[in-house]
Amino acid sequence: MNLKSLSFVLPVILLTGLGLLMLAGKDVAAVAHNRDSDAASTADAPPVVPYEDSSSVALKFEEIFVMPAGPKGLEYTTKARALAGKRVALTGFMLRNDNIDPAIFFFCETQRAYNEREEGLADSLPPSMVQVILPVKKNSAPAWRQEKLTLYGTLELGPRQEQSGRVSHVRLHCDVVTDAATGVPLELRKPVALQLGRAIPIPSDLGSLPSSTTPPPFFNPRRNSNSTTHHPDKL
Amino acid sequence: MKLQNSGKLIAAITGLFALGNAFAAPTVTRLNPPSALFTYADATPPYISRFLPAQRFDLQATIQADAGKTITSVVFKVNGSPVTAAVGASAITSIGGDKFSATIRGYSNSTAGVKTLVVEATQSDSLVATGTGNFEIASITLNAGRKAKNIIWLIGDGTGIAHRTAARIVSKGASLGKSNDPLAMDTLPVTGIVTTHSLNSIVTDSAPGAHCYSTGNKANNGQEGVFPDDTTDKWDNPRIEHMGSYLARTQGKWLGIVTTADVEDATPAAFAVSTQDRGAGTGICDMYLDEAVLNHNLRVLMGGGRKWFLPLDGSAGAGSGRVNSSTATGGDYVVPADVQAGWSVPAGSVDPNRNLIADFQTAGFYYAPDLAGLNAMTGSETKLLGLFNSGHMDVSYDKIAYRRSSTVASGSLIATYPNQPLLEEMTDKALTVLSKNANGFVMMIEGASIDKQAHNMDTERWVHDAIEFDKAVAKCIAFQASNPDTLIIVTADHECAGINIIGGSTVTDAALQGTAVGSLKGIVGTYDNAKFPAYTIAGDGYPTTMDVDYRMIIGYAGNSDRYETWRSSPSYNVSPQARNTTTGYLVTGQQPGTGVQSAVHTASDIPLSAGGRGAAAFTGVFDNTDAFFKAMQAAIGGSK
Repeated sequence: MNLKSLSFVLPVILLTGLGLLMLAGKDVAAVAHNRDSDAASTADAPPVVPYEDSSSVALKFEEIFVMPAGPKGLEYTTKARALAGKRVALTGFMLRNDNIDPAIFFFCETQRAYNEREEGLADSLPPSMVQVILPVKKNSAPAWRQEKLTLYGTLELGPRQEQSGRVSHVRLHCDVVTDAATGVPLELRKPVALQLGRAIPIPSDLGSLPSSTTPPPFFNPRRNSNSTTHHPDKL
Repeated sequence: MKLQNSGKLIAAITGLFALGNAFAAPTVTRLNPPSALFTYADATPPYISRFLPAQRFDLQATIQADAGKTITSVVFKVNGSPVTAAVGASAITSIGGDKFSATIRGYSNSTAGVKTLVVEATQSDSLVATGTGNFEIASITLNAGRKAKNIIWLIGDGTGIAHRTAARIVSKGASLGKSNDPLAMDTLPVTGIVTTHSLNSIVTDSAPGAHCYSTGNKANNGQEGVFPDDTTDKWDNPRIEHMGSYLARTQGKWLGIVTTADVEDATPAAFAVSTQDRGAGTGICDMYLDEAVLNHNLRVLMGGGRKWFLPLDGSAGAGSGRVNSSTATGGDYVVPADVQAGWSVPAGSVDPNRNLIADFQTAGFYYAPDLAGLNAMTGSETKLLGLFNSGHMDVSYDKIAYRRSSTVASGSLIATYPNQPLLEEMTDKALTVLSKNANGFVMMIEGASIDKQAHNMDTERWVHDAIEFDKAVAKCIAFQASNPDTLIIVTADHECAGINIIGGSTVTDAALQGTAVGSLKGIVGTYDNAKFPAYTIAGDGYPTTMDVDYRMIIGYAGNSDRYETWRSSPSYNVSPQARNTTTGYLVTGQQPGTGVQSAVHTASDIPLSAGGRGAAAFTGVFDNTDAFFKAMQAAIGGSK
């Protein structure tokens, strides 16, 4: 292939790739929704209906711990204790963080900022934050959504250390996720490869000092900023 | 290629390999303390690592051995003289990949000057690797002036020059070209400009940003009280003696740490703890008691972060954040034997069910869980622990709103912890306790959420916390007036969010609320149209409202995406991308990735103001580590 034809083919390949990437990056739920809308005109497709669960009890975040707190640890409310092991409905927002876990995400009353890189586990997140555990779906992980959600599942109380280093106090073994506004079930788990919006976690140790193997006095990277031969081998 | 030539080529390659093996040799790949002499073969100043006379620090080298070989002995030489370690205070440890870490713990040198540090490591086949670096022992001048008996570091986390200006405009006002009144920090007579780079980046995070003031040295981002090494162990890094320990050991001073953050957070921990992981919560808080109370005379510790002090088994209630070492992050601590021997510290233990509040009380600490607890102090207390929130304390904007009208901001923990003190109230009690020591004290007071809310681009909340911080400064200035041998240093660890004051609103608040989203950008008045925004201060010293007519307008240069309404947010800590999505207009940020949720630190220089004994030295443009030596000159050598 000569240069001329290459100059034509390359942009075509790049544009095609870009288009595929954009398609891959689209919200899977939105795509599914469009398909549902299209299918609604056909006789075969089931209608999208709000989820109803008469067996669950609505639990609010402020009903999990007794407020205000005493001088030491928190106490679960009578209602929360009574619902432990039972089916509950919980309405709130996903916490947006970098953790890609195949099953777990955090759920809070409000749309919280969580500056994970800066704060780590010293944070402003509420103790009532719920760790939600979804059934594992191969090669997928819960993907952050901005809208308010209502989750249905079994409530579990008690401190438990997680592999992330965090200690969870309230967990929900969730089997149904719905849009809180419409009650329509949603699929939160998306292929990890398609979760383009994820920030890349940064390790706590950001690495080594720059240095050079070029001997002085001909080159000194500390003094000659135009150098391009830095090799981080001496620290 | 003919066969005979191929044979020659194979022979040549074999010969080259043989030659390579003949020249194989162990190499020194890291030498601590860090130096430009080792890294860049540059022996000229500035010297990267500097220490006080007799300040302790660890010598450490990483040696890459040849495959299958071991390092059998290591000798460190300072100016040609071998360093002898105290009994048990040295080690040679295999760290994988034929690498070895050699340490001598707790070295010190009392003679001022630049020292050459050479390490000689002998491999099992007798080959020797060497490395050469340097460090400086600072000269302390014995002046005729009085010494600084008390040193107070006030760190407005993330507080650049614009944060100060904004706090002044809101709390003091400006008119006819002049500020109506100065901030308390503005009244300090000496001002300097501080550079803030960390050991591994032009942009520091809060760990090295505070470590520099406590140790006089640089650290990698994320690390505090230590130099970087090549092991994964969070607790074995080469240590540098903190100011608190040095002054406790040499002058009998006490240490106080007061913050509005979680006490485990980087800035407070950087004044007492030694770890390469600023996020190692349980171990960090254990070290406060196990090491800092023992060796630094830590007498005051106040802030949020109660979760790290509660036993995991729930025996003191739920909400514990304590972890053991079974996780990837490994939060608790055990230090190796050479650290124990070299620094006279306990081994530590993995103890997720430790009741750290009870242990502090057993050590004689008065425990205050809230403002009422602080106010119930008798005045005779000499040790004080205050833990006012499970994580970071709530911000003054929400604390004041609750005090005024019982308003609980959505997203805050005010309902759970309704009686959290303000920073000035914590400062007051800390001064009462620490001033009981006839030998004086060193205290760090941090306004933490100036930074945290700047990250969040929540203008009203960080401005409010900058005002709260200034009230703590005022308390210290009042203390200094009656205790003149006190040095006050007001500064930051870095700038956060690239903040600046870009103008004022051209409309009233009512009009602003009625402005269509598409027209919100049009209300930003610049130059003449900015005029002089006017805020009213209530009897409690804080603005009656942040949503005044013709309000101050803030811009963010280190920003992520946000939706801007130019009005306060009724909710605390809402993600800038989720806040005001229907009522504000999108300001696109410069941080990479859609997952980035907040503004970031910048490498801008920061202001420093100082007053009291020894303050005159804090002028000009200087490195953040210089501030440590200026303060220690005042404490050890006295002022001119």
